[in-house]
Amino acid sequence: MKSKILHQIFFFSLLIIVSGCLDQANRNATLKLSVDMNSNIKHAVGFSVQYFPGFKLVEVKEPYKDAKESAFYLLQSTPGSIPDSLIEIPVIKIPVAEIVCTSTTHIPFLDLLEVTNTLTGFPSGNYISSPVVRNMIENDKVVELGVDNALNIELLLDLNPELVMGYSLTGNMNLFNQIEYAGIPFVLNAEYLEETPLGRAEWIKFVALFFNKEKKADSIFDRIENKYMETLEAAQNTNFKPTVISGIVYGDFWYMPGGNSWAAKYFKDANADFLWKDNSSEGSIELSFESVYDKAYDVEYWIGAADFRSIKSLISIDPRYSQFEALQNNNVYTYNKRVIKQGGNDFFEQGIARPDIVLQDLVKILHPEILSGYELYFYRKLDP
Amino acid sequence: MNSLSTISLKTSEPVIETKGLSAGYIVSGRKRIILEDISIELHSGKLISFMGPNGSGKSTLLRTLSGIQKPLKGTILINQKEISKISSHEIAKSISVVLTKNIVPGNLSVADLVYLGRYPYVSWRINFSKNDHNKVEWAIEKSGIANLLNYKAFELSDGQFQKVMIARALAQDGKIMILDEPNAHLDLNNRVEIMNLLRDLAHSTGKAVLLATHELDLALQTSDYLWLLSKDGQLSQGMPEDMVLSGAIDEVFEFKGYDLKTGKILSNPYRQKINLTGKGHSFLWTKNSLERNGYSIGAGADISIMVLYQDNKLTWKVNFSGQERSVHSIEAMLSLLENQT
Amino acid sequence: MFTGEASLTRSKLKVRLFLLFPLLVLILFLLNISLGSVHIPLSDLINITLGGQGDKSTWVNIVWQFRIPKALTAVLAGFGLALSGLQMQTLFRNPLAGPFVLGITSGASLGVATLVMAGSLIGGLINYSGVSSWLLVLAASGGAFFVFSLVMLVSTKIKDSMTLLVAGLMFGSATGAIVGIMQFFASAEQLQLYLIWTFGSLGGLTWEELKVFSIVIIVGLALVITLMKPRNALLLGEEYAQSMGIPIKKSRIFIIISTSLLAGSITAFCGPIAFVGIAVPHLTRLMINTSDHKILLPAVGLTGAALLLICDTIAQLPGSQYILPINAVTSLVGAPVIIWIILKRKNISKSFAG
Repeated sequence: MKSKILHQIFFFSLLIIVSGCLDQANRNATLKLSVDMNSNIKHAVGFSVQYFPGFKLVEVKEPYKDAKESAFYLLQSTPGSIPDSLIEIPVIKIPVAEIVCTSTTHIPFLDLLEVTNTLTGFPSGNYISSPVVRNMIENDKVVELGVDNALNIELLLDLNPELVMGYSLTGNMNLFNQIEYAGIPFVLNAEYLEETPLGRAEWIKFVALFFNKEKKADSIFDRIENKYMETLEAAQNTNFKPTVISGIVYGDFWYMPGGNSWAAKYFKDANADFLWKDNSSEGSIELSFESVYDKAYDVEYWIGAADFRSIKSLISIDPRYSQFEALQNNNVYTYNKRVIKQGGNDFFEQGIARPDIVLQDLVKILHPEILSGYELYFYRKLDP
Repeated sequence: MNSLSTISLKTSEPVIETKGLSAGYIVSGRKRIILEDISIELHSGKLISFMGPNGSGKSTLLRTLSGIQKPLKGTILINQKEISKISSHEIAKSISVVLTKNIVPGNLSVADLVYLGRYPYVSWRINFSKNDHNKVEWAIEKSGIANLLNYKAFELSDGQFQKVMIARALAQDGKIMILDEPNAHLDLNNRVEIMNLLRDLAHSTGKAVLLATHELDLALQTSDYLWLLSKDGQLSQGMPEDMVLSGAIDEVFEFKGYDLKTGKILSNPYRQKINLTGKGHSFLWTKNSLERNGYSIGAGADISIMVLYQDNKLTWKVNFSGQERSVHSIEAMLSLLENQT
Repeated sequence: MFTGEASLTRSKLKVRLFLLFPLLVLILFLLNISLGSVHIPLSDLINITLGGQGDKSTWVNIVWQFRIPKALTAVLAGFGLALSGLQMQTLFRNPLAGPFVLGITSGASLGVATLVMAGSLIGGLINYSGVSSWLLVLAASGGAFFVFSLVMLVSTKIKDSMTLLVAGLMFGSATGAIVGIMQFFASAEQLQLYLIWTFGSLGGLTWEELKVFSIVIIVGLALVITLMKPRNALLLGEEYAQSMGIPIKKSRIFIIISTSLLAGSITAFCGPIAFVGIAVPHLTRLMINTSDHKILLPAVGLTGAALLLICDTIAQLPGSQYILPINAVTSLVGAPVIIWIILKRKNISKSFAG
């Protein structure tokens, strides 16, 4: 009796293993398509699209950090147009009429493409700055789907959107497996992995794919790109290259942006001398307060002091900040001009889609002689 | 010979007096009475051995008398003052204790340990006065531990440690010393030494020394008084010999096969009678060995043994059925008897 | 006087104590302020400490605004942690006890966690730039005090200290669990803020805060000193101590109060600093072979100050602009110290007592 059951278990497990292998082999076979970079995409490297009659084949090269494989999606506008050989790739019916987004950085793309009304749900919608969305939230058009990390799966299923635009920092696909299991299509948006501001902003074209708004995306991005390059050139042509630092102290550490970080890239494009540009860190580096003080006590500009509103509040946290000349000269700026009362900061929302504005802000601060008439949008000077 | 003249017989006021004392514990709000209605006195200058079967409540009573535990009912007078009205600080100046269960603070030196006895007399700054030094010196001398002074506690043997604890209690200089089975883990030599020490302390310093002990033999030979605690909580007291003769001790301990009056384990003879002659220790111990092996001693026996010194050697002359053999050890004598019977 | 040989050892001890130890601390203090990310030559350093100027204008500030307050904090915190550790080890007769067994630090963590992670509910109390340090101190103190009150409540109800130890550990666990739940629901920024607090920070005190901190520490230390007698007596156990006239309950309460004051305030001002409280009493006993608290007390305190100064100097990674969190260094230094002591003494409970 016992041996019969054991036999059954053995056979059964063997079956599962074999079918799994076959499955994997199939997937690999189909995805060995070589996909060309669409010549339209200039700065972003994270995605590409191929057009076929009735559908588009979209590839996200690195769906999450250090992913080993790309993610493919079939955006189908005509039913029945997808050949059998591509049957393994997830299908998303477009144009999408009901979308759930999971990051505030997705929102400005919706706004620019004027498809915000397709947003039906969002987790922690409180943090969204976009006035259009805020209005929708107030009129109960956007469902609150959870708290920060914890997306409420039940509410999502109940809402049953046509697409969930998500992102994954770690590659943990638990949540997305659940969504897939429920039959809801999802797509991984990996714009945060882009290495340049323009590259990141170009994901407007990615979002546009789902709404058939490619043309609009192209023209919007062209404008953004032109403005950015224009500003960059003007800055590079100035006579002065002011010194700048960023970050603040937490505990014993000064969190300074690294040499390869966003802030460093912007400072470079804005033609400033970022005092800690000579390291390869893409994130922040932790420095001792005294070493920052020693090197930067006479730095001209301090741009990016978290969300402090005034120099007084900075000093109240640590009076040693007052030793910096930038503070004494009131030359401290930070990106909290557009903070809504619920706590969300538009800099982290719209700022992603509008690098041209960010750069103009920085250039306005660093080289006040150009861009006369321009008013700071995201950044503001700290009150004394 | 002990100096009888220094033993005063109950002429002074008791240093500890209890009236209708009930002692026990309070466990989750309920009283567990171990001893009830105890009225007893302790006088200075006396060594009192407190005995009773295990679990009868000796430790409880000692802890209650020394103020470590609170009495459940009744009064305790320390130097005629009600114990509840004296602070633990004052009690410490009157009573010092030596306990069985010892936590050994390994790193303290012997000197440190003895100085602890002076704590009731020093402020929080622990500054010892000349008087303190003198008392400690005296305590060390009296307890005979001067050679141990620089040892650390963990280097001492059990016996040595107990002597140090006694020195400490002595240094505390109260009128009363209470010891709870101080000899528990000691060998015979140490035990005798300590009992003698305690007796000497009681008589020469005038302190009242109360100790709980299991050692009936030592207690009977050294104590001035016995306190006996029976299984049903009855406490009786008296001089050791009185209590032996009156059978009080027998009653409490319910000896089986032991005759307290003779101090001998009762044995049933199952072998012959033997006519034994001799004198002194050799006679006594020969008799013991024969009785231990089931022989009885008496006149008119078939076998006779004479023990005496011959040519400066201790000789046993065994005579049975007219034949006489001489041997030079008890073992030889016994095997001789064995072979014959 | 009979204590011929003993008094010789005692005076040898006194020499070590009153000369060598403070000297060692002073040297380490100077070492600590002379080493850091920024290289300041010794001559300039001496000049600056005497009130003069250095070669570079920033150096005066670095020495007076950054390094000296940090070194002073290290001395005070080291003293406080070591002595509270000593008290806990004596009270519980446990060589692994430290200042945090009563759950005081966990209470402080709870206070900070509540402020950082639930603070958004109160809205506007925090911005993600960090919390005003006074607010942080208050929150930590509040949390520490909360657990402290629970501990006091328990200690009045139970008879022996072992139960109290278990209770303290349980309180620590419970608060830890609550903090864990808060972390689960917190945002990334809040988590980071809280995490940074747990790294410990000696350099965060301004001169103003230092003044308050030193007052609290001194009060705590004063209490510890007055408890010398009960602690020594407790070396023989609670029954003997009671027979020597020591009020057990009252002593225990004051030991708890003084420990909480020290451990609580240090955690509130500097975050949780591990290992110093546990390792230093053992280290001290190794160097000074006694359990007499009259000698042990200043020795342990000074050793604590010395150890924390050493750890902080290491944490500064002299010459590099990077630094290590102090907690990591104390753990890295503390654990081997304890292992070395165990190996040297072969039996920690034998050599341990008080």
